Amino acid sequence: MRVLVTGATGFVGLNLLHSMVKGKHDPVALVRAGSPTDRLPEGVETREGNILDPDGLRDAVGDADAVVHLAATVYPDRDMTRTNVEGTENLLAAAEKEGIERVVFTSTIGAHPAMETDPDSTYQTSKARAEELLFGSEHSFDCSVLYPTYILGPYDYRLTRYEHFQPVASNRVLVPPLYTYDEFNVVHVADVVGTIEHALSASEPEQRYPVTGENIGHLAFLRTVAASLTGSCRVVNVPYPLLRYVGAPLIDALHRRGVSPVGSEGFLERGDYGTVPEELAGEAPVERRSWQAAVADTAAWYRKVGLL
Amino acid sequence: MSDFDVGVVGAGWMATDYHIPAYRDHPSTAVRAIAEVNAERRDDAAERFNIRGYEDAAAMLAAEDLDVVSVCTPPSTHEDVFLAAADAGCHVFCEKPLATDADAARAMRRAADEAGIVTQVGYLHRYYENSKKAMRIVEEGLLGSLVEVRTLHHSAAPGGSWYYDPEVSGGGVLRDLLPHTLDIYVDLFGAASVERASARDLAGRGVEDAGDVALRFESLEGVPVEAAVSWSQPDGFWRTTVVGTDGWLAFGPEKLDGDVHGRGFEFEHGDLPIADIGLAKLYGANEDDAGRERLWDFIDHVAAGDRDTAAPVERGVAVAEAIDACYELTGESA
Repeated sequence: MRVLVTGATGFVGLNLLHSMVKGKHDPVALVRAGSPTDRLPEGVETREGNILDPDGLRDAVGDADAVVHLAATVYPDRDMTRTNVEGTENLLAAAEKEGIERVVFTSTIGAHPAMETDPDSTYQTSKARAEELLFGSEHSFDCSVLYPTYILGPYDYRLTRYEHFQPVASNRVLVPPLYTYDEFNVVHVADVVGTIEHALSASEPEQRYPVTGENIGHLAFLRTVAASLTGSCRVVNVPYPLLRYVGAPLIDALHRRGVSPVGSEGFLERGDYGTVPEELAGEAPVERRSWQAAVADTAAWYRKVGLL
Repeated sequence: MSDFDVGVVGAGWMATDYHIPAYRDHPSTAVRAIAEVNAERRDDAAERFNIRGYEDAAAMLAAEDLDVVSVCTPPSTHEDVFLAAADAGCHVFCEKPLATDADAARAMRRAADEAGIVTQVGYLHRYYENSKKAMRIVEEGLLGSLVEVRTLHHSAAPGGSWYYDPEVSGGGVLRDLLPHTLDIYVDLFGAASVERASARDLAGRGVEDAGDVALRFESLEGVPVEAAVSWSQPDGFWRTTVVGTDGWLAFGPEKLDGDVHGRGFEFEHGDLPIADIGLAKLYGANEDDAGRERLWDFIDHVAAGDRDTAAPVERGVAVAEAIDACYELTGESA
């Protein structure tokens, strides 16, 4: 089966292609004109095209039996909604006209029907609108959607996960405010790739695939990051109430007297990286890698490319 | 009893401060002999390191059963010493510049290939921990498609009088300093062609003491790659900047910093900080020892019988060809 992959040069795309070149399907990478292809695995067929150019897209889709749609704008950009909604619309229209058998779309956990979409996240709302395009009307093709949580793994050329590794690698002792009280739900990119390949091959594919791990706290996550690095970093846990009722007022007082250049706002932030309700945790139609393996493989890649 | 017996040719500071100590400290090498034309320097070195002294390389090679020859003499002597050592079946580490011109360098390559010996040219800068990291980041394509590459290398005017005699040195500052950078460029990007070169004699030394060159590499499809060198800075500095579509980095011996897709990074001597609280960074007290590491790396390759060293004699040929091309454009030449 010839499978056209959009977003082929992105994080999930590169991981998918590295896996597909060893598998039974023939991947074809859709790349924008002038976009460098030297990160793609050797020998992968490429087609030039852009999901925002419907005519060119039809030619590229016409040669394929299935489409994996990964192309999306993930980080703030004024064209995000256009790329993520209009681009998906164009691709589905081309798939319809060209008689494609199956479309696999990668969404995000926040756009899953069981989750509450964050109205302030342009990314989540753009993915939720793409959801309507996929499930709001009948299509001539089978349609599967993945909902991964926080993906970690190799080939992160945009360094989107480096922020978790760099502070740990750059400190022998890690105390707040060098980290904030975040919660995580980490999945290995190989599980996302495995789910895409499963969705391509399943005789009757499911429509919705959450790809999720267990919810974990910042301490477990950071200590695992520390263990994945060669340097020794001790992650010290300062209980949140201590920070909230003692640390923060102290820093604010110092800030008012001009001693501390910043106030306490940043210290008390609590971040959420993909956590899910209990009933959605630990899901994927493939044998799941541990989140610790995802952390270790990410660190190994950063080390390989010279950044750790 | 050591695995490899070493003979050093030349008893200047490069031999006595770097080569001999490095081989003495390596567990599988021992320095047996030194060849030096100047009797006083020869006797000093022989006594200081308790090794046998010879008047020249030929006498040393005839009398000793050596495995490795390390060449620390002025450039115009390199070819003869190298050919004799290769003929004796010795592996050769040769200081830069490999030769005074590309013809000589090619003759050395032929001799090395015929003898099947392991060779390395003494380029230093690739052995800085920052250089290794930066070369890795560039090779792994983290910066995207390259936009431009530039190096500044300004050092103190050398002390030896032979540096100012092109018959002996093969030129001026271009022949002396450019090799360290060209070695890295050629390793990363392949053979260089020289698009533009200029040379100036700022201090009236009789050879150029400042120069700059613009290079092109087939693999980089027109990306400007430039380098400027001079003998003008007593303390010296060397800094390379690489800019790509996805980010940039800049590095010298001490510091490497850069940015990829808005994520910054900063290393000292190849290491991340040991403490980084945002407002300030604290680094460990790590120092490179690039001068020793290049010799030890060479010995590791000798031990493994691996001719593919970090900078084998063919690198020296490519570097010499590029510098010859620079001199053709500037109209100065040895």
